[in-house]
Amino acid sequence: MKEIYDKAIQPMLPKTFDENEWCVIAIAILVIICIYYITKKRRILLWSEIIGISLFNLQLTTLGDYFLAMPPYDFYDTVDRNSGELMDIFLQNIVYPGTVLFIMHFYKKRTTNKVVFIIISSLILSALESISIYFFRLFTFKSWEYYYSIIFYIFVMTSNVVFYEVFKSILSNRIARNSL
Amino acid sequence: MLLVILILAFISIWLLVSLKLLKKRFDSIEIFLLFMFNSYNGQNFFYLLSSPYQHLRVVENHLPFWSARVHYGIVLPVLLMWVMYVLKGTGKLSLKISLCILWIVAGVLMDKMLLVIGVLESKGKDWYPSVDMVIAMTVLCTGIYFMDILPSILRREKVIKGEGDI
Repeated sequence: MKEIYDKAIQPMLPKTFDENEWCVIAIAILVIICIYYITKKRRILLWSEIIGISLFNLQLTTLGDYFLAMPPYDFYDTVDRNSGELMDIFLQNIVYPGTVLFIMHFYKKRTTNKVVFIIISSLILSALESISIYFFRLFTFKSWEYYYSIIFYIFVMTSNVVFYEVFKSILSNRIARNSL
Repeated sequence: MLLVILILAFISIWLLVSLKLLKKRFDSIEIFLLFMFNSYNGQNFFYLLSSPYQHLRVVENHLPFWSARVHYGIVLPVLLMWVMYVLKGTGKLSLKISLCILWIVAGVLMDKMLLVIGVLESKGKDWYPSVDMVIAMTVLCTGIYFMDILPSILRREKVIKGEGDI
């Protein structure tokens, strides 16, 4: 039993369970509540759009985080370790894609100016990241600089808007055709 | 190593083009969403669950990194799409089960091949194919479940027509 714990479970656990782990858990719960709100209580996006946006961001997260946080590039570390760990599962599968899905809900709800939306949403994401860094040490920068994050979020939100607009127009055409 | 990534890139382009042939049984939106799901799922499981362990890791260099990305992000997911294509057909159950097992075994054998050619490395005492088989089974089962629930969601929102129209 101890061998299983040492070989299989221990490498996935945090080195110390401190403020950054609590931060991940708290954010994950908050994001789940937000997702519940925008999907069950006040749903504006179609389920097809929700699946599309979620998968796009899960893919983006998987690609982006492994590219940026793993060797040979290794610009920063997340949480405690330089490899995947339990809290990364919450971050990559709930926090990152869930937050963008929540933001895209408001994009569909009331956005008239795409550029303003991209700038504001990128600034919100950058502000959230700075809180997680300076108060909870969620990320440890190696060769990464904070302003790279702002540029990265502008890229993420621009690609989300482009993806959503293209995906929505394809879905709209199909829905119109199939409703006849 | 450059040759390895070139071969993998060629195979992945060829496999991506082959996705067009799946249109006989899947709608193009379904193909897109299933591929995105399989690709994310495969990469997530293989990377996140293998990186903390010593038994199988990607060699920390540029070309092995991108070779592994192409392998887990395109090659394996597209092959899984072809398994799903057969699963959606009316073929014998024994054929379907055999193909699922074949995909799992092929995944493990490809891991071994990547280990031999230097894309992956094993820092532990042994390489445990059973670990990779469990991961592959999880990816396969979640993929099949997603394939099962997706059409009804798309049909309900009139994104796709009835099954007979595809």
